[in-house]
Amino acid sequence: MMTLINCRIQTEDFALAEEYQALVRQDCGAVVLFSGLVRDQFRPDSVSSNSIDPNNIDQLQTLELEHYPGMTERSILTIAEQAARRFDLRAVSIIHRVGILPVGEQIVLVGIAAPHRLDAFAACEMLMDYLKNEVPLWKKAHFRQSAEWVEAKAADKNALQRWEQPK
Amino acid sequence: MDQTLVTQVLFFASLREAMKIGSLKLTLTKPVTVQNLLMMIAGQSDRFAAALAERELLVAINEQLAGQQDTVKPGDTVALFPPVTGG
Repeated sequence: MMTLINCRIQTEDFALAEEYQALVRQDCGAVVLFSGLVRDQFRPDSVSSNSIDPNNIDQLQTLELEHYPGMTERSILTIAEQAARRFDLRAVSIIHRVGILPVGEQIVLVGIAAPHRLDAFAACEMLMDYLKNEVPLWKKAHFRQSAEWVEAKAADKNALQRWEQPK
Repeated sequence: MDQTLVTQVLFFASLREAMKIGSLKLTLTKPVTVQNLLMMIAGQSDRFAAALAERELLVAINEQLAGQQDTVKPGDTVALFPPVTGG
């Protein structure tokens, strides 16, 4: 069964309602949308919002997303095709924003249309796990007083293992 | 006749900042391993050597993830970068 794959790298925001409508089709009983956002972060410690001392705490302003044009699109297509071989999917949309993204902005969208929800949920998780490990994108965190490149997390790498076992 | 092609090497994210350049060109006369290519670049300056040594590196040859023992041919495009953090 053919799977329609739509992959975009862009600086502009995306509209969830439009992306949802683009995925809906008659032979699909399930649409799963995941969106990743720039979340509020504080340094040096992550603290709850009612105990911030504005004198000691550095607050995230923006995330800067860098990528490798060409390879980014190619590797996203590759992982989408892997997911489409593994699960029964009819449409996959992956949008990743690049550039400067303030706190609260949308970063990424993974949308799946499938006949049944189990395939749609699983494919969405698999694609996010591969996005975090195999697609050449990097985040730099700009705080009020400093900036640093985000370190890759071991937990993200370990998450890939669940997809390596036979279905 | 030997065909000498320029090999472009791209750097991204923290590696790009540490190298202070986004790319460089090398002239290869024969295929080399990624490991050898890294040594050639490190040999060009102390800054390059330090930038390459002080972080985990991933490598792509012609936009495909590759390993340190893989072969780079003259004319290939190689990209070096830290572990990715998108999503």
